[in-house]
Amino acid sequence: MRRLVLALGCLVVVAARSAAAQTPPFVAALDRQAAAPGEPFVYEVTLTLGGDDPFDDFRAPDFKGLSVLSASRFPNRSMSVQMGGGATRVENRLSWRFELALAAGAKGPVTIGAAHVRVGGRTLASNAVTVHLGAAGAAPSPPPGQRGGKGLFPGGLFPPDIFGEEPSDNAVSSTPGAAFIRAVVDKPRVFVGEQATVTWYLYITEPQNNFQPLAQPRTDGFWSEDLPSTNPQGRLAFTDKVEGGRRYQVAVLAAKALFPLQAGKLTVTAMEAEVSQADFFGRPVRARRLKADPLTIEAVPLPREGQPPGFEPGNVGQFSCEVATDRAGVAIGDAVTVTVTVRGTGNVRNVHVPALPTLDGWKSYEPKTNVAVEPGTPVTGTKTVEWLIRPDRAGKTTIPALVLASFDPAARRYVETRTLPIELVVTGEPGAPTTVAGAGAGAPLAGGPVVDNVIGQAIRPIRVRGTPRRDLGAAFIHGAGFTATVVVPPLAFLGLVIGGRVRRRLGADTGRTRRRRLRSHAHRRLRAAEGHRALGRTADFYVEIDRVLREVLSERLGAPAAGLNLDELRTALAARGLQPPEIARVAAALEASDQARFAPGERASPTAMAAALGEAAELIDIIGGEA
Amino acid sequence: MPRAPRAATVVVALAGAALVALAGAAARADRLDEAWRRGNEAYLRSDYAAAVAAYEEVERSGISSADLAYNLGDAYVRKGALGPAIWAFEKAAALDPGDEDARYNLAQARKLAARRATDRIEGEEREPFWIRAVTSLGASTETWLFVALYLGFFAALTWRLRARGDARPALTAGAAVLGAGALLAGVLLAGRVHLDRLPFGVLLPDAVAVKEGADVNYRTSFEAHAGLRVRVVDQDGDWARIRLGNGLEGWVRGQDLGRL
Repeated sequence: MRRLVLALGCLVVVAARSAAAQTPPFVAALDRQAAAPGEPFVYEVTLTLGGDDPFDDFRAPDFKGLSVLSASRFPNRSMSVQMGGGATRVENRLSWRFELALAAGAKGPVTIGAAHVRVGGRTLASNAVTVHLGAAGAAPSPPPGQRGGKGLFPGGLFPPDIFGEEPSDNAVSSTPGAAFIRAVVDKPRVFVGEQATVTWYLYITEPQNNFQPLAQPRTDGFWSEDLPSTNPQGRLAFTDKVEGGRRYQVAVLAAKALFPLQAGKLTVTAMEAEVSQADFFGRPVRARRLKADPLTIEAVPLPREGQPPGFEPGNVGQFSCEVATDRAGVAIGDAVTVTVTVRGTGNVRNVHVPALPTLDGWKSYEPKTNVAVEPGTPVTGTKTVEWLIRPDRAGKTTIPALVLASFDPAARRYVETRTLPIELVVTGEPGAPTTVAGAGAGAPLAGGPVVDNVIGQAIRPIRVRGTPRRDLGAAFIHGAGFTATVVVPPLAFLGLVIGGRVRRRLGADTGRTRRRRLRSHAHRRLRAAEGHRALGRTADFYVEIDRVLREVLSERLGAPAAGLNLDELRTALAARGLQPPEIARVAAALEASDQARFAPGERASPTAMAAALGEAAELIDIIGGEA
Repeated sequence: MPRAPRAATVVVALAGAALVALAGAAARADRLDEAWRRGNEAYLRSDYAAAVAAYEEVERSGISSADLAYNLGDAYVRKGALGPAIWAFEKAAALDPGDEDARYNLAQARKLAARRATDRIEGEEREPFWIRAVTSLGASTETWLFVALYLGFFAALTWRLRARGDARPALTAGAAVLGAGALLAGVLLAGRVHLDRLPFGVLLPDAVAVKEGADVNYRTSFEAHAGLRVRVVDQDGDWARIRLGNGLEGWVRGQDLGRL
């Protein structure tokens, strides 16, 4: 009985589980738990079906108290296939997505009721979700069940890499996570007026389509200089970086050179920005607000010790100072431009340029100031002040040395830069014009005033040719053509010399060359004899054999062999070192040749002629060998 | 089975490529001539900035021309940029040492620059004899002189090789004279090539802070002014080490220096 009850119990549990398993999950979730009024957030409800179960009649929940910014007309479909245990399981996932916002003036949490859908004739209801009233910029939080990477949304509404594994509810993403902004200062403690460079970096682990700055950092208490962006064409340039075991793509968002204007702890407020991906239609989705931590920079007052009198607090950096005039001599009534230039490293805009002292007998006009800054780390630049001064009387005047006192933060000491004095010479009488230009040839005009036509030294005019004369040689010397010009002639000359010598050597009448020529000639004769043999011209064949043998013999003997009878030939050959058997073969061949010319007989047969040809070739080699 | 290209096809292809190359070179020359004319026209209507831009466009093409450097110098003077003007006139005079106009305008530009500031180099030594000898002729003249003597020398040797006995002494003497000339011209040319490795330069801005190292953060060693002629002895990135006539050295930004 007990066994029967146990079996029935098991059956009920299995049946209940089976029934539960057959109810398709239909779950709603928010991308964040809290949002400020007007701040968009995402509500998504997902139906998971096993196989191709039919569904219809989806009904969105009542979004009372909420603004619907966008809504899905059709569900977003995705399918997963699981294989194992000898079976294949197909799962279809359908999601309806709504972008919502709390209405202005919302005062408390808003609960979104159930969405409904009919599956296989049954109506399913989703869970209700609640969105709380929170601060603007709150970062999305994963839906329940996403944490730990498990639950009904295995992938989550948002890729976990984008928003971090454990995003906090206050949603400040400056701490290491999957996407955050980090502000870095190169020197957290600087002197007043010294440069501190702050750089804001964006860290992401997955490509984002859009980046939208929302709030720029405030730099109260600093003189700020924006540093040029290193990003090409306004696009963020990312580099790979591994931090905390995670690979990030990092881009520089902005950089500023900050010069504290006062002592104390000065704050650079947070930079805020939004990153998002784009959907099929290019609309931003999965937007996420990121916020960097604020920074504190401590500005230390400049030391009192060693401070020169007249030091200006803005003169912090490494500067040089110089004075120049546009002329050394001037006539009364003409003006001289005195330029005082301060250049160097530091906050050049704020540098106090030494003033030109009042010069006795000179009138000065309002100075003109120009500043050229090269932003960088460090910031460098030039500040120029131009004074126009005009003399009232003739004589010599000296512009005294000007002193620029500055504090060098690197050396931690005060520095004084002194310019050289400049002497100016004033000539002419007060009110008298010094030059009258354009009065012709300068000759005194009859009856009129004397015109002093001063023609100054000018430069000679330009050359107005149709095309500029080109100095090809200057370029030619560095080209391959010049190398070829240098290398080819000696090589060609060497080739000519060597070629000539080779030709002479080949043409020389030495024993070896004679033998080589004779051998070549003999081969030609043998080829001719072969031709006669092929055509059956027996007499001609043997004439050729006789001739070639006698030519070779003549060469060997050093005298014509044609006039010698066989006995004389034998004697001569023996005297030339030929062995008796070889002499006998030569004599036999000549004799056979003679006979065959006049009484061919059996020697006219092709076989005999071939044998005679072979014998002649061998004898040529023997006779033609070294004596 | 693919057929091997016939010789005629190859010849036609090569001829076509040569024609295309020639057409490209001609088009490039036309563009440069057009920019040159544009520069002249701008100068004559007193638009010196436009003239400088047009001349610089021609110069960027890499052509070497004393005329171009001369006109560029004139435009710089009119524009008030004396450092670049001195550089351009120095360049024109280096390309053609016999160019009187360039020498005259160079002197004028130096006079104008001296009204603003003058650099007096204490203990400045005269340039060595070999530099004066090498720069006494233009690079182009030296090159063509050497090429002519060198080719003439080998032509005389070749002729002598094939000549009859009675003509040989005269040809030997001719080859010796040409060879000696080629040797002398070759020495001058070798000096020129060596000089190009340690080129001269001219400071371009009105005032330049010459640093002790190749970075703006180094201490300023001394200050120099527009038009100062220096030797460029080293290069480190965008910085050049310069040497004055008295041996003093320092670093300036490459953009502040016009190479000769």
